[in-house]
Amino acid sequence: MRAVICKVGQRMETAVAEELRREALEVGEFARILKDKDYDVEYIQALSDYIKEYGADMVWSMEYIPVISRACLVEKVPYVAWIIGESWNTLYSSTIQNPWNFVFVAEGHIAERFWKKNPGHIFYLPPGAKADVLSEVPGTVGLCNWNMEYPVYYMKEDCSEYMKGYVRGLIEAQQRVYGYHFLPNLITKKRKTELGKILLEPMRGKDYYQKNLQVRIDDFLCDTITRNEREEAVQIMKDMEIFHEGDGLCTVNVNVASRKCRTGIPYDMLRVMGAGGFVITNYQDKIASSFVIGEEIVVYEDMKELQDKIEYYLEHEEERKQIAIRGRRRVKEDFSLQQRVGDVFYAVTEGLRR
Amino acid sequence: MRILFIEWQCFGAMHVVKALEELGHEVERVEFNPNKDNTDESYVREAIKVLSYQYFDIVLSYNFFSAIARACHENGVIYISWLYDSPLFQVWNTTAYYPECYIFSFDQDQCDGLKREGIRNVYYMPLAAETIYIDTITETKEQVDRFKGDVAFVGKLYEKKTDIQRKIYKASPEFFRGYADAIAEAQAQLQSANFLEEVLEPADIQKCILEGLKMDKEEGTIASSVSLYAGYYLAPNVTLRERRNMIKKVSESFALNVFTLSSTKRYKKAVNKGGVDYYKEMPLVFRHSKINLNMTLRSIKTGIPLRCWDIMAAGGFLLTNYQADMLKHFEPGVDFDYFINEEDMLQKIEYYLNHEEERRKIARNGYEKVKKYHGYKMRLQEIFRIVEEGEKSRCVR
Repeated sequence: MRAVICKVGQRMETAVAEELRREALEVGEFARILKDKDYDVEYIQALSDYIKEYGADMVWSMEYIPVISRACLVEKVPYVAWIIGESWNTLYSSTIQNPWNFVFVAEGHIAERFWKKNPGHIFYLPPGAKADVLSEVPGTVGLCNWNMEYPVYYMKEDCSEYMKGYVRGLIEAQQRVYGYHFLPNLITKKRKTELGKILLEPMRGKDYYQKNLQVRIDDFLCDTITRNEREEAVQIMKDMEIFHEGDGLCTVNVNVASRKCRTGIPYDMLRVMGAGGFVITNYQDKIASSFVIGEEIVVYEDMKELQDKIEYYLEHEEERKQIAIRGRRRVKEDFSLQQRVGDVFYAVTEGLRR
Repeated sequence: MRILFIEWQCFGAMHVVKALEELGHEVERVEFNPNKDNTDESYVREAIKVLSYQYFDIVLSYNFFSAIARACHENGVIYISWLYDSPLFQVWNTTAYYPECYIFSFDQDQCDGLKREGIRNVYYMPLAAETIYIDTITETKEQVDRFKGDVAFVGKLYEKKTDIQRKIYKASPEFFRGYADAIAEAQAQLQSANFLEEVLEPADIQKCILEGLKMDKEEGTIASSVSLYAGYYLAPNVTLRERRNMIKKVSESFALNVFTLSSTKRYKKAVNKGGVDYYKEMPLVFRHSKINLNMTLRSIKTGIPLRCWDIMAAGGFLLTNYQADMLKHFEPGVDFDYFINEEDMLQKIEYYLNHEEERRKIARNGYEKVKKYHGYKMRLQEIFRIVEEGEKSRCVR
C-alpha cells in the first residue's frame, strides 16, 4: 500500500510518516508551496499528477486542506486529514462533503459540530505521540505550543471606541478565569449582533458555509485570549533570561492550551511529554482527566503561579525528573501514535467497505 | 462609660444605642452628615471643643470618619469605629493610624487589607442582631397578608447612579465605558471569583483611570484610584446586574415579592411591594417569607452583610450568595444555605420550597445561633474588651 503525506508544516508529519512506514506502507512526501488552501489550481494539478505517478492508495495531511480534498476527489483516492492544530476554519469549506474525505479532529465538540456535513467521514481522534527521547537544552525554559494559525478574525479598525473597550473588557475578564468558559453565557443577543458587525474574516473561502455568529465571536475572543496568554508566558520566560526557542526539549516546558480547545489535548504538549520533557500547563478539563496533576504534569492557575512553579522546578531536579518520567509513561500508555494510526486505518477501511 | 454615639442615616444604629444603654452605659447621640460634616473644618473645630471637656470616655460610630478621628486624637479620646461598608474608603486615610482609633471591620478581607497598610488597631468584627428586639415587634393581620410569600428579596437594585458614579461615567472616555460594561457583565456571571481590581491592572487601563477619570479624593486618603474606581463604580454596576438577573430568573419560576423603592417594571412576574421600614416592617417580611434571598454588594468581598443577620434574627430562612465569612460562624445546610451561581440558586429555591420541615429547621437553627452568639450586647462587650486590652498595652509602651 502506498500513502502520500502532503507537507503543510506540521511537526507531526514526520512522526506519522515514520509510523506509516513502520506499518509497512510505502510513503511518498509531497511538498509544494501552497498559495491558497482553497483554490490553488496548480497545487491541485501537481498533486493529482503525483498521486497518479506514485500510484497512491491514500493521501494524508495533518490539517484539513480543501485543495487536497479536491485533488483526491478527482483521483478518487481516500483523503485522511487529521486536524491536530487549533484552527478548524477550513472545515467550513463545501469540500467537507467530499465522499473520499476521512477527517479526524482532535477536538471532540468540533467533530460533533461538523459530523452532519459528512456522516461516517468525520471523527473525533485525539493526537498521538511517539515516545522517542529528545535531547534537552539544560537550564532552559520554553513554550510547547508551536505553529499557531490565528486569529481567523480581526476587529474592524473603524468600529466604535465603545465596542473596542467592550471587547477588550471581555477578553481581560475571561483571561483571568481558568477552567470555566463563561463568555458564551454572557453575550446577549443585542451584543452578538453588534459584535457580528465589527468582525472581519479574511481567511474565508467563497464556498464556505455560513458560520454561526456565536461561534465566530467565541473563536475570535478565545484566539485573542490564547495569543495574549502565550505572549505573556513568553515574556515571563524571557525576563528570566533562560528562554529557549527552537528544537530540542527545555528543562521546563510550558504549555498554554488554546482557550478554544475544551477537550483536545495539544499535540505539541504530548510530543514534549512523550520525549521525556517536563511540562507545566494551564488548566484544561481534558488534561486534568487524562493526567495525574502534580505527578505526571504540573498545572498553573495564573501567570504569577507559572513563574513561581518554573523557578521551583528548575531548582528541584529530582522532583521534576520523576514527574517527567511518569508523564512519559502515561503518554506511551494512553496516547501512542501507533494506536492512533491503527484507529485511522480501521475507520478508513470500514468507511470504504460501506 | 459615657459614650458619644455618632449617628447618621444607617441601619441598625437604634439597636446599637439600645444595647449600649442596656449594658449600663450613658449614651449621648449626635447627628452627623457624612457627606458634609466629614470635610467641614468648622465641624471639626466644634467636635474638638466638645471632646475637650473630657466628658466622654469613648466616641463610637458605624463606619469611620476622619473628622471624628481628628477630634478624638486632639483630645486623646478613644474612637471606636465599626465598619459595615466595604470597601469604606474613608478608613483608607492617614487619620486611621491615630493610636486613639480602634477599627472593627465586618469584612475579613477589608480587615486584612487595612492591616497590610500598617494600620495597627484593626480587628475583624462581624455585624450582629439582637433577636429580643425583633421578637417583640408586633404585627397586624394586614401586615402579615402584605408580607407573606414564597420568596422575598429586600433591598435596592442600585439602578440609580450615585453622584460619584455619575461623575466617573461623565469623565470616562467611550473606550473605558465599553470596558467597564464588559467587566461588570462578566463579573455578574461569576459568583465564585472576584476580578474587579485585577482587570484594572493593565498599564494602559491604569493610565486611563489615573489621567482620565480624576476622581475626587478625600484629604489624607491612602486609597488608590484603581480601588476607588472598582469600589465606587464597578461594584455597584455588577450588583445591579446580579440583582436584576436574580429577580428575572427567580420571578420566572417562583412567586417572588420584592421589597424595594427601585423599579422592577421590566420583570412582569415579580411583585414589587415597595419599601419597608427597617425596624418595624422588614423583620415581618423575613418572618413570613418562606425563603429570604440575599445578594451581597459585590465590593463586600468576604463579609456578612447586615441583611443576613436581620433575616436570621427574624427567624427567616436565609439563602445567600457565597460569602466566605459566613462559614466562620454558620454551617451551610444547617443554619442557612448559599448558592454559587444562578442555576444553583434556582435549584435550591425549588428544593427548600418543597422541603418545608427542613427549611423551618434551618431557619430555627440560624435564629438560635444568632440569639446565642451574635447579639449586639455580646459584640459590644467584645469590642470594649479589645479596646481595654489595647489601651493597657498602649500604656505599657
